[in-house]
Amino acid sequence: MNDCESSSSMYNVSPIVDADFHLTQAEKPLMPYLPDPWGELLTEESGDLTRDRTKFYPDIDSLGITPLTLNKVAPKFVQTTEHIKDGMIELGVDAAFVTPGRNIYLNHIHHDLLAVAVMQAYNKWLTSEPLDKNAVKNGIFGAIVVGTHRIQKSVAEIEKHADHPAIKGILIPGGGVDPALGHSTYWPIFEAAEDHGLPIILHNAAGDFIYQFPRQYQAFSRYSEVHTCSHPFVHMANMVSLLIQGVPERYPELNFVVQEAGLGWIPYWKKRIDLEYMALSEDAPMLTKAPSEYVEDNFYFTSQPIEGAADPEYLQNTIEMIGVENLMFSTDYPHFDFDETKSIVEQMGAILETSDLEKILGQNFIDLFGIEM
Amino acid sequence: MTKRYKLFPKSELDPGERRFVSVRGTEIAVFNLGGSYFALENECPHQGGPVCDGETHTAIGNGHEERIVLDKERLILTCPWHGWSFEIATGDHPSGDYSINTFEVEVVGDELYLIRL
Repeated sequence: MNDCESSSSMYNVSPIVDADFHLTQAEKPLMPYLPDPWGELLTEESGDLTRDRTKFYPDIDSLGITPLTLNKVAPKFVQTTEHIKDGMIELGVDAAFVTPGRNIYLNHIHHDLLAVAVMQAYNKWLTSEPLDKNAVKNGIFGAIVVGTHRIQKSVAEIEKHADHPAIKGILIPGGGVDPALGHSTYWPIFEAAEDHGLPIILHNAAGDFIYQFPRQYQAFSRYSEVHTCSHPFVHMANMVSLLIQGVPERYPELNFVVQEAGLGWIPYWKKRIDLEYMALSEDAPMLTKAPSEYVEDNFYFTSQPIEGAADPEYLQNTIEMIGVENLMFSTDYPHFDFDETKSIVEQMGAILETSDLEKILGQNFIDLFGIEM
Repeated sequence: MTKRYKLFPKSELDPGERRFVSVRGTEIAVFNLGGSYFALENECPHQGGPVCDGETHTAIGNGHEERIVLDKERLILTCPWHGWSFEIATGDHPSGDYSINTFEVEVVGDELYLIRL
């Protein structure tokens, strides 16, 4: 199957799939792929001017939010197939689902046409280089990224790349969207994804909290405050919007994968939305069942970062309330808060039946994305 | 075994009105919706509130339209405690997960009878 075939065998559970494995790209690898005239426009010599047009992603480092903790751990460089394979061996996984680096901030690029160009460049680079013609054979899969600046351009990206053998999902950076993702503005993206049988992948960034709803940067004073809240809060906002706006009812074959916010908020949010809906159902007249049932039927969650992983009672109860079938193991390699495979396999293995462990570690991913392994 | 309990003359409940009765210790509200009669137990399945005391309103359509559409065939009862809403004709919450206990009402001559097991 792939060069990493023996990777997971050390754990006596196979296969293991990392459902959130990051590239660490910024602007540089995308420059050759930018459509005309952006490549020329951004690299034009500025003479005596010092303006650098090639930095189009927002630069959270320069905000000085906290020099003590931000970038305390430098991530590895992951941009090529070889880098990915090395990471997979290091993690002991048989397959990886690659997600963006700085392109997770796509929706924060202010110039709408530049954002479209960056979207197109990223997807072209992704499907040419990290997801090359040997990707599937190497157990490497991924998602194209679509932004929300020009919806029809995003739909065109889906149409263009949907048949790539390694493309298994459509990632929308959840931060930076306004309005929230349930709004009818985005429905053409959901329709196209459903038509192609590709799940929507929702992934936020720590810095989302700085720029966009539910922006709370100004209320906080330390990076850890921002980082703690950013991922789950943005997912919460988008999830309630998707459910109350009836997106899963309108697109019943469409699945969602919600990444990188840990576990404990999931059962709370399901119950919370249900409680609100039961009293305020007039706001969601198109629903034919409780919101939590749509979550159970169409939403999947990647596990990292597992808060309380070392607490077996917490872990067991939380997984039970989420549902074994709705969880997929992930590491978030190579970011500083990644979950290391061996630890998670041991901690989950201590509280789960083998069949449930296998589902979370790889089988749920294989079933959802239709992978052959 | 089905039993019939005599309620009151149908002339004593005009269309659009409701009337409360007690049948073997169970408080029940009888509604007249355009000449059709529906009986619901006055206990909300949420936390036991007096649901039949609540306001009624026309149901909102299925929401897939690009505008709010009223479904005038369906009347909704809202519990005054927490706002949980139920269709009077079926007793069902839109989620399908909860229902008010309902009873069949039979018209025999000029009288209304409650049917219960």
